[in-house]
Amino acid sequence: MPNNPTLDKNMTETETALRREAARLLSQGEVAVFLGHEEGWDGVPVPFAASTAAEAGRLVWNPLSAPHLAKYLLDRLEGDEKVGIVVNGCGSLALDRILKDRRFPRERLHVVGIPCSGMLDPARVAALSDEERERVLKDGPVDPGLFLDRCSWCDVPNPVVSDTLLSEPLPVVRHRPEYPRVAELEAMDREERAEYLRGLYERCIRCFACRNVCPACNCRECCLDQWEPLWLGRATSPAEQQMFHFIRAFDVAGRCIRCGECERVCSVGLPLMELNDKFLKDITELFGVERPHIPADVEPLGCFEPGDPDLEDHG
Amino acid sequence: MAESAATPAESRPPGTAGTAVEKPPAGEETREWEPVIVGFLCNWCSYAGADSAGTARMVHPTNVRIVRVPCSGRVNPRFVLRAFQRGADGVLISGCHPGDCHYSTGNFYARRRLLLLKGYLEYLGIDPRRFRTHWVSASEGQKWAEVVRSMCEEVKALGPAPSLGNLV
Amino acid sequence: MSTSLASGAPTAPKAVRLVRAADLGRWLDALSAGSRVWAPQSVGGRPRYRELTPGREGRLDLEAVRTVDSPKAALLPQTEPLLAYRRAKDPGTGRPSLDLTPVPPAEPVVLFGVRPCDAAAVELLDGVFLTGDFVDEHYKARREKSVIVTVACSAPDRACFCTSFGLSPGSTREADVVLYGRSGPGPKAEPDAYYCVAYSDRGEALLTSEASRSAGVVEPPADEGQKLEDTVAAFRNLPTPLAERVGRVDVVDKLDGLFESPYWEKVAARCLGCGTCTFVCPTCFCFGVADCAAGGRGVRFRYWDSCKFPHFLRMAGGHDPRPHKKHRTRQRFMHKLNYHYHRYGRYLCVGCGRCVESCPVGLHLPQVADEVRGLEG
Ligand code: SF4
Ligand code: SF4
Ligand code: SF4
Ligand code: SF4
Ligand code: FES
Repeated sequence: MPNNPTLDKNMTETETALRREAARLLSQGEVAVFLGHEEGWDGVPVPFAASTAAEAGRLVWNPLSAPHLAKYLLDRLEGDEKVGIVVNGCGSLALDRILKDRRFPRERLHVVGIPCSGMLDPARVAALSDEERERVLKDGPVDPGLFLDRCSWCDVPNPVVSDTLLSEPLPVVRHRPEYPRVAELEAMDREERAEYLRGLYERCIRCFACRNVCPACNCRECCLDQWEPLWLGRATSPAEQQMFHFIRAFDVAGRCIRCGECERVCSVGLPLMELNDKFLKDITELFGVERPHIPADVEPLGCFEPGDPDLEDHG
Repeated sequence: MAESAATPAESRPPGTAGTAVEKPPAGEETREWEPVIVGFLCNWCSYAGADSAGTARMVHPTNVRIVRVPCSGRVNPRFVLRAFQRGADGVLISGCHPGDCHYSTGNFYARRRLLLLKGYLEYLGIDPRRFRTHWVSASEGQKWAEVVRSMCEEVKALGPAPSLGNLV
Repeated sequence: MSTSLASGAPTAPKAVRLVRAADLGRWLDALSAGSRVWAPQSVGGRPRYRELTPGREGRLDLEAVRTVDSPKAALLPQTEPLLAYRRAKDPGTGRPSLDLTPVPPAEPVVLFGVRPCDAAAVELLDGVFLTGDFVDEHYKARREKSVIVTVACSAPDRACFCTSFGLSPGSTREADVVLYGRSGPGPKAEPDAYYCVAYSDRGEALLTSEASRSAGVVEPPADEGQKLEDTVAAFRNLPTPLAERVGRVDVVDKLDGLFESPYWEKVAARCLGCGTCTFVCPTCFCFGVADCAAGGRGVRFRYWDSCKFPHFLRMAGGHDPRPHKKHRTRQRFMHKLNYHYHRYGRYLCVGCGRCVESCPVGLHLPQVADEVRGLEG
């Protein structure tokens, strides 16, 4: 059952509250820096680290505040200063991912949560005509296709981690995750699918934006960067491209929060969720995990059941 | 659809011909094509099992190039894809029976990972019959010989694995 | 090919032709007979600059304002084999040795439908690879066999700012041939024909070849001389939207004093440290060299590297002079706007707008160039 995302009508008030709260945290010395968004050059929100109460005045919260911020915590591992961060529902999953992977101490965080009913995809909105864009951002109605893909399956509107909530929690309707794109690929002939994926690998410029934005790709040192062992050859040959995408998707299997940030930041538009979702789908089918993208205390690949399907039966 | 034999040279990107595992030369009249199978065997059960098959002089094919690993839990899924990329026609992983792992739970974790891998390899276009996992204990020399024989036959029937496009 | 970095003024046309838009496909087919041909294409829903290969996915897309990747890959491939080797035995002594096989020589290549900024970027690459004490043989071999066919921009978009660097939508820099839409520039220009003007001997040879002629590249009507001149001038005088905001970029002196500025920390806080900006940029040229070897043979190749990657500068022994994102971010912008200028007298940017469009977090050169003007230092 798909979700029906909508735009929150009170975003302006929320934005004011966010600025006030961040300014308070910064001026009272509760946090040394506050991670949020500011308006970028083309008007679209971009990640921003405010370090003074005055800078908190630059924070924005609007229908295009899509980028998740939790990954930036890894830039602040050194030292013991406290960090403030704003998260909506899915943003809190990203944060929880980092916390559950024990990559940032919870004690050093002050989390400002915002219940969220939907965010637009900045790229889709940018492609609209000027008038259309203005209309959509002002008062809608909004074509459901303009929302981020993740909004269409989101059932976590309320942050799962927060210290302060800026508005009332929203009602929650649970969905059973569906993976139509994977099902389509599975329906293909094997050789046809291989050919399709070769095309995908071949279009990749190996910029690593997908890895760098991913909250589940949070190792201290990424194996893709290592030289010894050389997990990934530097050549962009078909084999190494395949290996790159294999490693990137497999290493987040069981920890991927299905945020789609990897796909969103890919400058060549690769449908990376077709790789990530395969694992999510199989994890449900093989191990009975109903919502595998929600960070759990023990991840599906970090545990087992003696009664798991047996491999010998599988050939 | 049946897999084609190795990608024709002219359809490969320049510089990607060939594979790393030196295979028996194909097409020689005196020798039939033989598949290369890479086997990851846990030290405690399966490697010992293969050893006992050898000492008991059981006749079984010699196509498996064995890599000894401490535990089936040591097998990183990348090893498997890399083996295929380097020219393996099949990959076999073998460890202690569930419940008997020397490290008590290594193969239970491995089982989850390898189950996902199995499905994923097929998703990527690799024939699942080329990838197998078995549980072979130290005393099961007979089972080892049987596993190798049946896998060999199956992979042989499939023919050489398609090239995955290495630089060398 | 001009390797003189001071050049750039439009040279006199050597030949003028006309080709109907409908004949472009035919022309490209004709060119493919004698060369490899690269062209802007729509691949996987995005405009990409790729080699045209029969049967490969991709449709010619001459009017895309900019392709995601720049044409630099035609001259500096992302993975470029430099030599191949194989373990052998010396027949005389029986001692182990290596058989070295040089890679096949570069083939002639036509870079078709290049944007003027990207052609100007080739001049910057030439400076790096062909001037000074070291000439890069591999680059040189490709470059010498390349012909650049530029298409003047009829509708620069809101990420374009080539005029900030003294270029223009009708720039002829490093172009062997320039195609100008016959209907002139304009937002909805879908020219039914292009004037083709050769500015070099290579361009002239290409335009006047039998292959081109028989594919419909013909003499323009004799009475269109004035129209051609006006059209060319219109393209040259076309403003670029982002340049109106950025203005003329000339910040080399300013940056001399800003190496230690806290500004870099601020900018870096947003950067993801991916390589998108460097890989899509037509002027970024950093590379590494590695081997891929197995089973007694190997290939030594060059691959694109990025100053944005951790480990980019890490040395044997583990020391990394640029350990933090701050250092790496500073490096990219200082290189483009300061170091390169000191060394070559040019900024290492042509205002193509790729980093503007592709950076996932909107962190790009024009913004930095603009912001540093206002800094103390
Ligand atoms: S972001 Fe896209 S182009 Fe970049 S490495 Fe990832 S998949 Fe490849
Ligand atoms: S959807 Fe992509 S970016 Fe998000 S957690 Fe999964 S792999 Fe990472
Ligand atoms: S500036 Fe943007 S594109 Fe460049 S490395 Fe940083 S995040 Fe990536
Ligand atoms: S720095 Fe940005 S605008 Fe300048 S040439 Fe590179 S990609 Fe284009
Ligand atoms: S030791 Fe044999 S599977 Fe773990």
